[in-house]
Amino acid sequence: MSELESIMTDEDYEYGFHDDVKPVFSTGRGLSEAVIRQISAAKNEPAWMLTYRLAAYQTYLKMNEANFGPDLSKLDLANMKFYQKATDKKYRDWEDVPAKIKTTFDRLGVPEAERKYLAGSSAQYESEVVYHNIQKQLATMGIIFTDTDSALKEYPELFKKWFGKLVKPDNNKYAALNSAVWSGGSFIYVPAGVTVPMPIQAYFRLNAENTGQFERTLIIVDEGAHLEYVEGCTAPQYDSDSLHAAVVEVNVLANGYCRYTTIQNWSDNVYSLETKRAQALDNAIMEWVDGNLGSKVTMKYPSVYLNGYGARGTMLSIALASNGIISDTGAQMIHNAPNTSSSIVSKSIARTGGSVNYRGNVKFARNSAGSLAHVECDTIIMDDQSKSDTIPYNEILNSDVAMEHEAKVSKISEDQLYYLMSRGISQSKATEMIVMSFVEPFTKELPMEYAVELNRLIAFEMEGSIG
Amino acid sequence: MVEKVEKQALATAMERILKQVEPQWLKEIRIQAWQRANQLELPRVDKIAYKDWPQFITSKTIIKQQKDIDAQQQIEYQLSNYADHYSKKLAKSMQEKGLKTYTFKEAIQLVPQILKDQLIKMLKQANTKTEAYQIALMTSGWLIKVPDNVEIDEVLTILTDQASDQQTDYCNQTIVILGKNSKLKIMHEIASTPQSASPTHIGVNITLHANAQLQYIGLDQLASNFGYLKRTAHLATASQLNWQLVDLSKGNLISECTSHLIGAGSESKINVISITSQQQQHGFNTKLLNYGHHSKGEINQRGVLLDASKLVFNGIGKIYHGAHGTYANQENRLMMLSSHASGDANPILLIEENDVVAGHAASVGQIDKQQLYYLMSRGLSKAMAQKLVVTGFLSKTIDSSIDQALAQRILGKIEEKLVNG
Repeated sequence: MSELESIMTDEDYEYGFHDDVKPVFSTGRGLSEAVIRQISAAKNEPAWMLTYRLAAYQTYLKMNEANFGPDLSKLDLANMKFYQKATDKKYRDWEDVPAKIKTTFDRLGVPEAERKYLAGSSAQYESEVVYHNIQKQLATMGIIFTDTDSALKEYPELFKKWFGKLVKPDNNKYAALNSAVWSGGSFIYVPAGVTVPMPIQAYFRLNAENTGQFERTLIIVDEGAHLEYVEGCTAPQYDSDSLHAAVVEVNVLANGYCRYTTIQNWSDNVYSLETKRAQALDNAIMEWVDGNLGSKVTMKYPSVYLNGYGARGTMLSIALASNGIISDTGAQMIHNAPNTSSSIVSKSIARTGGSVNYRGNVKFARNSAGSLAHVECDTIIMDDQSKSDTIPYNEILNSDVAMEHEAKVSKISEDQLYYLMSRGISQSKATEMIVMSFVEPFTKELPMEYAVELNRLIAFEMEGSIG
Repeated sequence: MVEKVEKQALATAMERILKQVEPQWLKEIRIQAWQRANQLELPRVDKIAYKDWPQFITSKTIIKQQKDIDAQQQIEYQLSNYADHYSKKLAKSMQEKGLKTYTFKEAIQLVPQILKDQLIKMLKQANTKTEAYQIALMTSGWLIKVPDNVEIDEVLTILTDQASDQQTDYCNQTIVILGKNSKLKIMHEIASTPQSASPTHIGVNITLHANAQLQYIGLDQLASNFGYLKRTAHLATASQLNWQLVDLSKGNLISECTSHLIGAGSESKINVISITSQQQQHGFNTKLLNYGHHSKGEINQRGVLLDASKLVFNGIGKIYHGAHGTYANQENRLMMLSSHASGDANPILLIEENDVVAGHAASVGQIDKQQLYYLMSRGLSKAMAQKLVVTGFLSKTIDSSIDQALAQRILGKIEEKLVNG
């Protein structure tokens, strides 16, 4: 049994392979004003964007690390490659993508997913989006789905109207860094009243070592429109660390609906420091569905600014941390208008020396009469090497609101385990079943093939975790 | 600016204290504490920006004013301390059973070793500027000791009154030591009268030896502009401590209460009630630290906010690695009675061990309209119905083991604060 366990647990990270694609353009290691000018020139950007980048860089230089959360002092920014371009072109047809990059994405399952039924799909390799497709039908409906760089050129007015409106460079150090060196990411605009019939997908892949990926995603769901977006992230394993510092801004206008699903499965040498912020206007709904399985350190606290009357925001998340991984995630719900509502459901599992932390913030501003919030955090700690902190802040500036918060931390229920085992189920299988049922509220919200994949990943992660 | 003025005031106070006739060991402890204070930071209390408030600065003018404390009091305290004036009226049965009580000065003369050990222990554990200053500048207080195997059933009533118009610097420490298998109940009323700009610093330090049991009721009615209350307890094997803290203070307040559950099977419950009104800002750091296996901790905090006041409940439960089979739970509930008020309920769990059951809950809401409607439909005025609902909400946090007469007194004080603000 123990021998089998050690074999199972030592199994490699599934997406840990890497390929040797030589970048056609790279700014080399380190960051300076010159590097930023280089990036901007290589992208042939309008002057205002260069000005924006340089100002953000100045902000970045002035900012300190956050005064909370995991230690980032080992993150070697001086040796980081801030911009790398693997190929010169963007490809419309999957067949045209260079063979090596294609092999990588084939292993990740991009075209397969698309072949099935997904609306559009884009893939980001290092800094740039290499493959991009959107079904004709969607284009004729007026939906824009492109990479953020192209959007800057092709839809300059729309872009300028919304870019950087929710996440300002001074939000945090890594938002400032992203604002200075951003590259790639998805840009989606759904016109008023249009429903995107199927989820739109993007994949992000870090391949070279010591690389920083700074994607910038901007989504606008116009009045009464409806969008579901899914993103997945992977990277190969190296000895040196990589950084993924994304900024995502989602604007859901009156009566709109947006669901943003992320499955983050970075390898354990990636620092994932993300800033995700959404605003929901009158009666709009914004839903974050967030799964964090990998990375070395994750810091991510997606927020919804409930800025319109009757707006609703939700967060449904799972985090699984093992082997020294620190997952420091959470959610923020800011009630800025009357009759808004929010719900946060967070499920975390820590095992074999992992740390899962929940850090949240619910705020009812003065003008939030009639608003409601519900927060639920459940954690299972599998063994006595693992840790969990739950740090929720609830700030209330209005008397006509209601907030409920509950959290629970425990080990696997012995009663449940005993019950299953008394029915002849092995301890490992029983443990897996209990964990699966624990995360089920999350997996049932995922598109089918993601749910299957996620269940498989969790089962894989849970192998040999009987303490 | 505040900082600079405070530094001078503190240095002057320290100089004056060191000139007093005191044994050398005490002077040394004071100097060490002073040095530590200058290196340490103010306590971290999340979500309340109190660090710019004047906390140590003291009024320069000393008005000598005689006050007949006994005549003003509705009830007779067994131990009372008004500025430098002490009075002791211990029940005979308590004396017979062997309860020892010493004023600060008596402790220096009669039980120097116990006092010294306590102060050294407190100094070692002081990890904030305020705690260290409180040791360096302590001017008054009590040392209370219950011998092993002594159970005292009556309640020991203590009044600590700053007399804030009389003294410039006020750091009071109450030290309570319960021997093995002993038992005690304390009702500790803390006041600063009359209202003044002088800050109040009061510490309560409790040590429970194996199997000891203590019920501590703190009724805080400070009138000073700033009050800092620091209550700490260390619990040995299978000892039990129930804190019942009722905060009705009229100025700004930082109140910290910590139980260190060190011994296996030790238990502590911390119940907190707070009412804030007008412009008052009150911040609570209520902590349970589980070190010992099978230790058990529970925090219940309930607060009511009126006017433009601010109330912050930080509940912190930490379970250290190796504390198997521990239980930690907390509830933080706020009732907002005004739309100009600001409330924070932050239940924090820090867990390094898997064989535990830990949970927390927080809620914020307005007054229950159904309850209000029910009472009004029975002919009560709205104001009366509201008072009853609010008192009912708060009284759920009054421990059922508390003596009826004391519980009534607490409820009376709560109603007074709800009406008068």
